[in-house]
Amino acid sequence: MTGLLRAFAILRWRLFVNGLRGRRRDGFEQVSRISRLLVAAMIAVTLIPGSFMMAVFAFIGARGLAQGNAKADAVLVGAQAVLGLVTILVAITPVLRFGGAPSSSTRLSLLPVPRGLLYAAELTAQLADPWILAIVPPLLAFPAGFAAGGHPADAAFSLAVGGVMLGFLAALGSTASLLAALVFRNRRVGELATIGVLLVLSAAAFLPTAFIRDHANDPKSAVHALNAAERPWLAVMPWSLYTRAVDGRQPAPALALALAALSLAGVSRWAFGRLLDTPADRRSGTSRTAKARRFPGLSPAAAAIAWTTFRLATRSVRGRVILFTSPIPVLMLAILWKRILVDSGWGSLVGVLVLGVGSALTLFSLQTILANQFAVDRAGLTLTFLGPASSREIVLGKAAGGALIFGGPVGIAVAIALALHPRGTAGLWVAALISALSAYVAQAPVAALVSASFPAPCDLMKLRAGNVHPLAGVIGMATALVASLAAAGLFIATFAMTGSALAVLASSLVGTAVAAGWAALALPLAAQAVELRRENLAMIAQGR
Amino acid sequence: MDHAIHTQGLRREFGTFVAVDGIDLAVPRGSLYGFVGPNGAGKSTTIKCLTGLLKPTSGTMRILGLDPLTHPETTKRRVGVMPEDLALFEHLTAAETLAFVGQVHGLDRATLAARSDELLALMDLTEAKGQLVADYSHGMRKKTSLAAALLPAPKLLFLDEPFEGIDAIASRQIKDLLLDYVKRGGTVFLTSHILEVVERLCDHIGVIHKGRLVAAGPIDALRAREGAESLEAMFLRLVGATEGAATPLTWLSG
Repeated sequence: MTGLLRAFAILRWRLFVNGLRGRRRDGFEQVSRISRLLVAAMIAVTLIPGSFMMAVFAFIGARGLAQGNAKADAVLVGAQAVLGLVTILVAITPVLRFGGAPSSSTRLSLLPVPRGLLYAAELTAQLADPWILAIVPPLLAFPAGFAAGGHPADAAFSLAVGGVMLGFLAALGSTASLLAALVFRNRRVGELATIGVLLVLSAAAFLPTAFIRDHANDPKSAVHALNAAERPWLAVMPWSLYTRAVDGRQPAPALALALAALSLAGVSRWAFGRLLDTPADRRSGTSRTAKARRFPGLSPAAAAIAWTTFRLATRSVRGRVILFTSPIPVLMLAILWKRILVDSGWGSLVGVLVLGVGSALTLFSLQTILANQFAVDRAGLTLTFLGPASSREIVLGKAAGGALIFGGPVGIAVAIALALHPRGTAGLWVAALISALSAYVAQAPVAALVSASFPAPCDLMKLRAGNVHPLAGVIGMATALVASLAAAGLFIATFAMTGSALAVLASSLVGTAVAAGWAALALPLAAQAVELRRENLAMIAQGR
Repeated sequence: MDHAIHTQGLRREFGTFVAVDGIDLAVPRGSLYGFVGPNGAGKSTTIKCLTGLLKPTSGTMRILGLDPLTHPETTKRRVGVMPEDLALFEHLTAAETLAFVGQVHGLDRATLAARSDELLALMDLTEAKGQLVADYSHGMRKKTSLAAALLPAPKLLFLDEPFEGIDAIASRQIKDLLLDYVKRGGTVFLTSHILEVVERLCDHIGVIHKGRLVAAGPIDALRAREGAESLEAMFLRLVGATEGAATPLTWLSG
């Protein structure tokens, strides 16, 4: 057993160290590695003295409680807050790792070790979680404080409850990481779960704004809403069970905590068994046949490339995240502007403004794909290069595919803007859409050029596997901003000068023609860059 | 003699490392040519140069009579390639991969649909044709890549390790398919580490070692010239390895 635990400890340590070391040694990898080391160092710098301080407060507070000091009750409130935070962190960290399984299940099942022992090692290894390690000193300081205050029985009881709390956290961490590994090992289910988690997080980011808005005129209601004592469900939370148990040596909350720990251990034991015994599910096949896609004005090869590029955005986890999260700020903006702008004289323009801002935000967020379009296909780029498509067809196909991707969130922005701000003439709405298109057309050659010049290995099928090259990202975003501002400037200036929807429509058409002229000049340059760099692009796309 | 592949002094350098060192290849049309060599000998680099994925540092190439450097698109229309890394889009299904390749090669809808269905059935991928390549096993990926190489009905097939990682049934089907293809006038240029397969399947071989072509020609003539009983014996002799030379692990016993 000791040898097995030692082997697991060494395995986790090596995984941690090797993870920080990284594989490649180029400039960007070095920056990434140093930033990860800095984060680890910052956590250590914060956690170690923080843990020591908490232990000191726990000791003083427990001794005060033992000596009947009324002010010492504050330590129980502090303990609740800290344990509550740690419980939440232990539960959500594995989910936010998106299924980064702690150990290889195949390797584990090949070991000549009984299943029960393997599980015990996996569960015990959870205690190495930095959040759990950080609360071990204060959980030990509590009984020490009771003992110092002359209550050895309370000390022994709180030591036992501290052990139960650690067991609960280990079982919780194990359950969360094993269930996350089970969910995320199935690519399809994992993608849906990832998108769900990200949507919840994105929406949650707006909760403080909504809370402040709801209670802005009545601060007392805000205090009432945040008062934990008035919410009975908080009393059965593990952090409350711990403090209720140690405060006055109550066995019932301690038993409830132990029961919760055992239940969680049961669930994690089941998930552990499932991980070892069952392979990841594969998606059942459908009977779709091969179908060629055609787009007007594009050669068959360029159309195939356009459709494949569009498919990458709609089928990859990161593409879907971009497509699904892009409309959230547009919706928030539309709600916010409903209060601010509608009565300000801009009423008839609010809808088209929402659409314009939504289009610009979409163009920004799509730079993850567009400014790295020749590296996100991975081995697929080799398949493209093996075919008889010219570099011009490849660049054109990619640009058309990008337009299809751009069309999705812009369509949703139109729906949001029309639903919440339906005012404005049809001419203005059409002009806004044409302006959005002109911004895309003007920016597309730049995105192709920077992607061909600064590709960075990136797998959109995984949430954390490379990203757009920083330089390509910055240039892509800057040109997206310039193109969007130019289109918006032309639209607003024409409307301000003439007040005519027809004039705005005409000016946006002229703007699009200018953008198309620029694209006709710049796209061959991008094609030339692709032609010159085919060899490098194919290698970089595959992460070499 | 009419050659499907003809190179002179083909050389490819990566910095100071010479991966392919001036090889002269002559692959007859209608032959099944096995290109063998130890790991890192330069097989895949040679295929990448011949298929236009890498530009040679020096030397000349003719693929089906065309220079792939000056006529890249025309040359690519006539060849099918299954590269080392299989070159597949992870986010497409097998059917969509074939649709992509067919469309890039300019096949009409009816031809594309008919050939795709036939190839998917042959590769036993019909049931899985709606699954994404990301969900495929290695063998399924290999069969998808082979189907993509065959789809445009090429005159010349480049196959990098076609038999590695696939089951015996599929392996047999692919061998039959290649033999039939060669009978109809097609040319196959394949690499493989499985020398028994090369010996049984190929009529010509080229042996590459440390970037140099150390032997090339009809397989029987080469074996006779080298006085070797098998291709394996000839191969080991040519690359400077001796049979049974591995140091035994004295502690390893049943």
